Amino acid sequence: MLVEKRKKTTAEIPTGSMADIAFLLLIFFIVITTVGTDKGIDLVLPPEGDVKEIPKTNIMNILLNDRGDILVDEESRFINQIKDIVKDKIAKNDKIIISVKTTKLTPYKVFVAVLDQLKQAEAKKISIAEPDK
Amino acid sequence: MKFHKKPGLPPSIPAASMSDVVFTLLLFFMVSTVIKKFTGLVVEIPEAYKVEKLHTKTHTSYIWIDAVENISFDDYQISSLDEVYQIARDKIERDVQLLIFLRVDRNMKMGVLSDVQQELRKAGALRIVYGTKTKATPN
Repeated sequence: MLVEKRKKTTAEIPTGSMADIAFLLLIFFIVITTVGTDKGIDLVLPPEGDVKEIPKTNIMNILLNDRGDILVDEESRFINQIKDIVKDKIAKNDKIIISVKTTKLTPYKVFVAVLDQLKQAEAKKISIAEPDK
Repeated sequence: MKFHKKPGLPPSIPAASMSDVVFTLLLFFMVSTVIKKFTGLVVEIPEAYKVEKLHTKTHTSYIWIDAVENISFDDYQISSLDEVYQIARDKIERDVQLLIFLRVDRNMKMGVLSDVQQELRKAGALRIVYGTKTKATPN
């Protein structure tokens, strides 16, 4: 009996449309990608019940009232003056802690503007005091 | 003067490496894509000059506080401040690197925000970021 050998067909995956598939996927991912836009001012809150005694000479007080007026160490200032004052203070005493105290009615945007000034002055030790009840 | 057309091959772009290029791009976009998880509330965040980019979204939770004092914590509507504590507590237990990103409306007062912050302190979620837009000039 004669057995005929079958002709071998080589298995092949068609690659012609590969690029098209990849293109479609690529377009999908380009469309759904949103470039990271989350930016902000970072801060670390003190743990609950963490009260430290700090010598008065190492504290700089920034008080913000209901209208958003600013008091830096008992003197009324404009927002854009804070940066230079804080820079000066840090240059003189690098242990200084800047304490920002607001009331319950202080506008949030003034608070952020003050934090921005502190960050611009490279202040690292910032403390947010709780508003009085 | 007559120009003779040179007989030659028709111009063609090699297409063999096309799929490699496309695949590389594809890979880049697949890796860099983070699918948006939350819808949040409509807020207009304030502006600041010295801002920092958020390094990771994996360890970030979002709190929205809009102009009429609605609070949303990762799309969960908060009705009492105690819930902020509960959720933050839950999240910090699952992920110690938790970062809370606060999107607070620029016209808000500090009162609600500081209440939320107190709850976060209680829960031990201490790393926070105040979301801002970038301002072109200082001051």
